[in-house]
Amino acid sequence: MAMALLASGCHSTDVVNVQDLNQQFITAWNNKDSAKIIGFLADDVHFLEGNTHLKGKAEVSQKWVRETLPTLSDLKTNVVSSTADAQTAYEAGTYSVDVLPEGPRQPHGIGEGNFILLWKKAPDNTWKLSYAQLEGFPVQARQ
Amino acid sequence: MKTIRVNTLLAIMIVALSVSTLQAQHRRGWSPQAKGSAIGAGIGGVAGAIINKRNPVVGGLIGVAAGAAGGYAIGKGVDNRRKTNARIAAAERETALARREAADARREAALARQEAAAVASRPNRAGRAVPAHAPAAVPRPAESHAAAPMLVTTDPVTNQGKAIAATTATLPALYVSNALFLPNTSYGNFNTAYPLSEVRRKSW
Repeated sequence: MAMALLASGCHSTDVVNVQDLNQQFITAWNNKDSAKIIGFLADDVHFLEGNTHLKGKAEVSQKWVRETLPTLSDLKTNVVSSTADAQTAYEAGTYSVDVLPEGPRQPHGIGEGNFILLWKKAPDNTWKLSYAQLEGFPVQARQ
Repeated sequence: MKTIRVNTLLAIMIVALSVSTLQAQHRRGWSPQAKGSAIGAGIGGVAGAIINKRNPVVGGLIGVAAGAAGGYAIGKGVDNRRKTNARIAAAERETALARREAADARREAALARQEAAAVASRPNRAGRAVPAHAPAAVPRPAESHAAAPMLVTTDPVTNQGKAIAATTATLPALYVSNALFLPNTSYGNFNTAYPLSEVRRKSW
């Protein structure tokens, strides 16, 4: 019995807590911590949104993370589907975010959309974001 | 015999003058009236000199005057026809341009309606806080004849809120005025995620 419990315990530690992983990722966005966000990215990460398909850590870091980070705050996600096993984990659902004004007299906005974040276990046993796909809806002007 | 020689010489001179005048007009691009006058003067001069055998010089001068007047009248008619044709062509060009602009406007309105429908067709998601200012569900065409929900928008000049009945007819105008949605400042830039969306969609 004790062996069985020990075995199941070992197995459960192999499966990542994807909710916690995503929470760390979202918190890094809200803290404007670009280094931590980029640290989550796999070397061969893919980012897809609309017409864009960014490949590799360098391109995704620059064109998604660094360019988008100054434009938003208060990112929230609502998970619709998720699962995790020993090698992969994903969360998918909807998001909402405050869109900061582009200039001093420009309006705030509220952005919404759909997302999927796919994590894979790296050879060093760390979990890295392997694939991210977003679908943004029209950004509403904050009245 | 002497009269015949004078007439012949005069005719040759007038014809030569007419030809040289015509060539000069062609090079300089004279008006149709000037061209008609020159041709008429040449032909009239020759004809007058031949017809008036008793005094070819007087006959030639009369012919020049009459020919010039007739040629001017013909040239004026040609000029009027050209101007009329040019006006018709310009009007047709303007009509075609107006048609193209109307088609573009219809296409943009259709795009805005599609995006509005996409926003409206999203179900309310559990756990997502719907902002207080968020527009009510956009009615489908069949529903819009019933109770049209009110959208609150802000006048960009007075900055005062006002209620607008949201129908499929008013939504494109709201898109255009960007009262409800932020404009896509990267419109047409195909290196961005949504290059063909007139409203901004990139938020994360």
